[in-house]
Amino acid sequence: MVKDVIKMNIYLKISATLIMLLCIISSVSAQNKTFELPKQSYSDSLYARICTPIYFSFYTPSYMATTTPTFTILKIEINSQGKVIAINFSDSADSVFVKAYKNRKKYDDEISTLEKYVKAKLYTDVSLLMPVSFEPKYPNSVKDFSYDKMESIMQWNKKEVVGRVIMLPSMNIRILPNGNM
Amino acid sequence: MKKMVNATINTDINTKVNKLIQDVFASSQKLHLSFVDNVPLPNGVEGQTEPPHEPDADGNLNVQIQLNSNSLPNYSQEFIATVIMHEALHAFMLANNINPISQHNIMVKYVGKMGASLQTMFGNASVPGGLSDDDARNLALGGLSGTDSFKTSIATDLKLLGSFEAIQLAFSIGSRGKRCN
Repeated sequence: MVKDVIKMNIYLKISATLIMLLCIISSVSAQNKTFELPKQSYSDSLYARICTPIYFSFYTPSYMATTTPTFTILKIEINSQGKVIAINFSDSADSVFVKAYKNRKKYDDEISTLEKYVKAKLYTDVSLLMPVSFEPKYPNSVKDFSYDKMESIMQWNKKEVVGRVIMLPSMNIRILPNGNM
Repeated sequence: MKKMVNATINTDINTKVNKLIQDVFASSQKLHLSFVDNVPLPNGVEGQTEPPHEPDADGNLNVQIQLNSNSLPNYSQEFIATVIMHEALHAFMLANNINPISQHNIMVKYVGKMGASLQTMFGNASVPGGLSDDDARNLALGGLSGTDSFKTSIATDLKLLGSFEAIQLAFSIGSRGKRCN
């Protein structure tokens, strides 16, 4: 009986040691593994290219100096042939940000990228709405949620959107007090 | 480019960054890095890499990294190398159409690898003046403090000792690390 208990104890100790070794090995191999970039569809890749110039508008020196938050919606109007006919931020957008976006460096033919995206998604005769926010001095950013401000988020030149709309994934960008995103 | 930054670039950082990219992403794509300091960056933004980064005929990437000419010349080589590494990873991900919004969240998973690369460049704790694992990882976390996982899980996941802020300050405006003067 005593021998059995001792044997059992030894088995338990060996098992526990083996389990610990397995944990260590798997943790070491997890640290050493290489990383595959996230698998993306063709349209996801195009969407990333659409987001890139908006993201980098922040780096325009005039906008980098501002601490005014922006919460706005970019409206991209697509006609029945799948062509881009207008791109505008809603009225809530900070004017310095809008200027920075309009004067941004051109990385590639952005309209062409948008139209490839629209074609890949089979969108026609629709307005694409992309919420965009820049929040400087996060987490102590200026909070401005007045009624007028809220209303202006969904207005373009004081007019609401009409017709079919599709909401795109949002771009929420926090900017830390030291300027890092 | 000022003396301190040149000294870091002369540590064969091109080769080291390429090794990091291969280790992290198992990529055969090579990066040819070049550096400019002609764009004014605000305090706290030590570097920036803008698109495009289209592969050349051989599939390699020509990457131009903008460095902050006001702050970096006074910082340690270890800190400057971290900035270059961070920006090179951005360039690689932009070239692979990873949405800029997601890039820091991807990068934060590879802080261990980035820290190991810094130790390859500057030596580990067994070398006089080398970087301990904690120093290297806290340095590699630079620019990633805006990610969701930074505040919630990163210190626990990495079993980090030492204060992120204190180590960042010590290797930048402090006196730790390799300096020219």
